[in-house]
Amino acid sequence: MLELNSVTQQFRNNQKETVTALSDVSLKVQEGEFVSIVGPSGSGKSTLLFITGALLRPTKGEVYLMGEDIYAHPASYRAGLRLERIGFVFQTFNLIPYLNALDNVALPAVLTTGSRRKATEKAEELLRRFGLGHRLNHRVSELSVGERQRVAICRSVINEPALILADEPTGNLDPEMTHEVMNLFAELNRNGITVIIVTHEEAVASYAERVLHLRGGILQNGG
Amino acid sequence: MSLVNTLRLSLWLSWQELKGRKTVFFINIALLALLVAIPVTVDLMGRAREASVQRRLDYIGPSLSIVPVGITSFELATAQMKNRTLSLEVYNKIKRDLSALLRGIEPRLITNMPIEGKVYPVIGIDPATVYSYPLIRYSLGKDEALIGTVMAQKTGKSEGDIIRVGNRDFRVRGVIETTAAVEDIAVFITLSVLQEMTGREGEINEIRLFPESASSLERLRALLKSFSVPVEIIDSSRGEVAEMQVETTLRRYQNLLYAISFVLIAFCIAISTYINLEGRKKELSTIYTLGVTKGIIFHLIISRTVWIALMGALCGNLIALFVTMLQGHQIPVREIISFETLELTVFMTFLIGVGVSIPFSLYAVFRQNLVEYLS
Repeated sequence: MLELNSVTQQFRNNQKETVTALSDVSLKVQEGEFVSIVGPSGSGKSTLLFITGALLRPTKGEVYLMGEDIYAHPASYRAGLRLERIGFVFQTFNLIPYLNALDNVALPAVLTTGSRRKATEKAEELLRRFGLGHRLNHRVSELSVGERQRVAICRSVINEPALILADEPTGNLDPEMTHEVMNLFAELNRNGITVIIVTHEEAVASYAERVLHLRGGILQNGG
Repeated sequence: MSLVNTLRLSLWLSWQELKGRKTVFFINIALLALLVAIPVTVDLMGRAREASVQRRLDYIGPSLSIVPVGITSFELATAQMKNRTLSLEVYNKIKRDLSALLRGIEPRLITNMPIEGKVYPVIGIDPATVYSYPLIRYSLGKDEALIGTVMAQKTGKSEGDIIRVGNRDFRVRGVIETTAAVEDIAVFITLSVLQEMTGREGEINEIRLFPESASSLERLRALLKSFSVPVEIIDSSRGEVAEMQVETTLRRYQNLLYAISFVLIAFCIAISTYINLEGRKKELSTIYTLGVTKGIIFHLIISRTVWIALMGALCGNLIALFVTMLQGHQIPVREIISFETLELTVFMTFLIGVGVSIPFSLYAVFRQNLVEYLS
């Protein structure tokens, strides 16, 4: 499903020094797997996720998603991948503040179907399934933290992606909500979606089938 | 995604953003509306004034002027009569032969005299025959004068004041309404008094004719041409030269006002777009993550400006119309509304909005690291 080959990522900081965020990372994830990558802050977790999610071209190495070297294709191809094949969930939810819950979830579907009506119907069905049927027309600021994260998860799955990438999805949640959200990811995984979560908490990582450790940009127990 | 769907999505999403940030939206529109309203108000008020003058002239009716041979319409309009005169025979013949076609016939003597120290036109009119000024019909005393609006401004005189014409004082009977012609800067006194003051007893140099109707105007022209007496016939219904000068002056200022406004509009849109983009880095990064192409993000930023520009321009035009109507010109709205002005301001504001936001959009999409703000 997903294969990273000797991926290295380097940046220039403000002092024009080269910083290596990821060093020679190789990883294979099978279809339908639930993988978590654990590491402390600054270990390169988010960078790894962005590279995997076709958001950031690596300095060296290749990324294969469903057999295709995604960075060998133009930007429009990768945009299409993110729209139809990959779903993202972030620690700070990253919902659009001026849209209500329904429109936030529907947005990716509007982009694929071209029809707001169809997208909205699909979004409503999804939100009801996730217990948010009473929050459809509420703006983001009116939702609780747990509700926001569930809206973000709904948004990530509305186009039925093959892969979900979650960057510290429980970072802002209390233990009870963390448990709820992780169970949601587990349920999505049982329905056939490949899930990769990056987190700094071992407890959160333990929900996954396979746990990998990332430290100083190096993947410790290899993929 | 097709271009049409891209534009639809961009317009919808940018509209949602503006609705969600009502205060900022309102401030942007109010600012643009104000910048549009100022030049449009000046433009519409100028048009309202011209419509007002035109209405009055239409009410009075079209007129012809008979003047001595060699006097041009420009010279008549600027009261430069070169001491030429018309014979009383012409006046009597017109009165006798053409009265059935006329509502009124005014003999006049036009000259230039010192008034309060400077030289201005002085026009002698016969109160018994005057048609142009209902204010003094049949009664203008020998020591009384009428003054035009511009004369009133220049001399600071109004009804009841004393004005010195030549070496004689006259009491101002009233200020006549503007006709956008040389009469605005003239003083009117009784014909016989002016003839006496200038030593030109019995002389006139203009006969103003007021036909019964537009059709009788044409007959009148034809009949006058058949007179064997040599005269010049001038259509003096609009004071064209003076009006043209007024219009040219106004248009010069209007164009300058529009230019300044458009520059300020560009400046405001630039600042607004910059501030908006600075505050939306995370949101744009998120949209990019969802699979939106950079092209759509580009259109999204432009669409926001299009909304603000169009609504600002429309509101500005409405404000200008409202302010113009408050001036009490008593002109129907349909005569003041100018689609030219509306088209110009809406089109230019739209064009400026799009033009100014393009470099910001390009920078946001292609130079900034859209991933940087995700975490």
